[in-house]
Amino acid sequence: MGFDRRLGKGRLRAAWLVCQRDLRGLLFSPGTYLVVLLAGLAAHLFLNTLAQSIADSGLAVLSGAFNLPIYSVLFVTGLFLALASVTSISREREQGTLEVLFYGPIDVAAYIGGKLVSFGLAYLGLLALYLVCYALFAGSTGFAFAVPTWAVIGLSIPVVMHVVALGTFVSTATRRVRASLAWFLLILLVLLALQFSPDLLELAPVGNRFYPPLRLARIVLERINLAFTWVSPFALLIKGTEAVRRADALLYVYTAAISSCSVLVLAAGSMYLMWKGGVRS
Amino acid sequence: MADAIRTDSLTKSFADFEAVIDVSLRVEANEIYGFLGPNGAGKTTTIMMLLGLERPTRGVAYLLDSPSHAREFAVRRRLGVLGERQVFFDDMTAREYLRFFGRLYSVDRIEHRIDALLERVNLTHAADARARDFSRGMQQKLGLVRALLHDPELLILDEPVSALDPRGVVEVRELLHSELGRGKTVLISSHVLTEVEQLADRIGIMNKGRLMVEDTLDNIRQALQPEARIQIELAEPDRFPTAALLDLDFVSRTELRDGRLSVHLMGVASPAARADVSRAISQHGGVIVNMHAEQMTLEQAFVTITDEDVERLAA
Repeated sequence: MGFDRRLGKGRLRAAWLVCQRDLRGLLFSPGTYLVVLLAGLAAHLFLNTLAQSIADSGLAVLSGAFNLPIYSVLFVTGLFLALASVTSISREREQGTLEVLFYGPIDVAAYIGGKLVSFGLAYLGLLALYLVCYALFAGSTGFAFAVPTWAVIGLSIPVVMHVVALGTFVSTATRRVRASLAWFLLILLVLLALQFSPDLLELAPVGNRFYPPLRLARIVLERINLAFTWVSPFALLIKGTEAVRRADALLYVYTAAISSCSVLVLAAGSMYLMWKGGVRS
Repeated sequence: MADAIRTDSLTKSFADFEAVIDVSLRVEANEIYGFLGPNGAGKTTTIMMLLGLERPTRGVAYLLDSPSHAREFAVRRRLGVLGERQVFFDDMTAREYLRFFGRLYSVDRIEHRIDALLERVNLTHAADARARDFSRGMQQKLGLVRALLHDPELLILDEPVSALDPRGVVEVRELLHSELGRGKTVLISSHVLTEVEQLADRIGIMNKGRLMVEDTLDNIRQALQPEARIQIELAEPDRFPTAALLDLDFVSRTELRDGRLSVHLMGVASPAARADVSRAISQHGGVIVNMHAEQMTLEQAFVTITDEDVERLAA
């Protein structure tokens, strides 16, 4: 059985239409503008502090002027897109628009694919907007983008898509918007806890002789964390920024590749869940 | 003629509840099929399985000769569906909504098609208004336009007239008749029995997950009520030889009471039977002032079939 070219074309068409529709939805969403505003305020806060400190002392305290502003903007935008993805499918299922869509020539691959591409394009669009703003700012102040900043920006694309794919997966697995949000926040909290709890436990006054349970907990959490290192987007982001700091190209590429693979695995999982669970609430 | 829809022993169970049990229905090409049943009878689940949106626990459904669960794109393009609930994408106008689906179904000359259909259902004035803000009736018409947009061979309509005013009902009825005239097939699931009675060629009635009956309305009537009655008002009833009507082989007996002639028929009071009675009366010198067939309405048939006792008999 060969590749059905007509099916492939139909699927691409459907995916592109879903993508366009969702991009339009994001364009009309007040949340998008709120995020841009928040990102702008965060960037303003950091840049203003930096400019103030230079004006006061004549010294730049940071190695890269745009690092913190850019990271904060990417974080806010990534979080917004993650929340948008986590509610998108369950909301459509709840409203019934998913069912209407599936009366027609569309399948789960086209639908999930179209959704993920729309979030990817939205992120790239917002990134481009921010970069234009920063370029204008850089032109007027003489601040420059450092190479590591570009590297983190590049890494943010697969990492944000990883979080978005996780959101999409949760949205597909749940039937109601509230449940989607609750599960997603729970997963994020667990991942954050796994990420930082070993370090927190290390701060506790643990003596080998006197607190074996705490020591054991730390070891267990470290082991779990190790297992999640290649799954959690937070761990991957930290690993990636560490790679940038150490100028370790191999680790950088490896991190980006793992994030990209996670996107594919989560997308396939979402398709399977939707195929199995149907499109009705 | 090939079947547009066919199901073989279609069954759907949810945990320990059987929503649809061994349903084998058949919708012939180029007919209007009324799909009826009380709430919770399993109609919607059956339709969802037909559309490939629910997977059957057992059995198989075929749409236009293709298994529903395959959800072939080519078959989807030949199918128009109006769901029970009308929902629209956020912030899209009616035209944008239709344009989206027109592109999904690869409709040629989309704008022309949209304009023609909106005009057909009197929605041209609202084409550029937000669909979500429409009245329920307008939303239902817009949903119907979406279902018809790609000129499908087979239409599956769930409650297509429930929210419409009488004028809207007439518009939709005319639209469906014209689709039938163009060789299309329509399956209507509805609670508006009078409408189904007027539209449907054949009827399937579901109850408690089972397809109780599937036939033409006349055959269903005949099965449920073997006798029909025609009430006739004659100009000079006392001078008319009522026994003469017994020569017609489908007339079982006649009665003359209070100047009214009752003709009891074996079977249904079909237009042909009424014409034969009328002709026979004229031939014997009778003058008909008024004629009225008393037979089981679809509503009565529906109530009888969905009654539990009959269900047990049918099972």
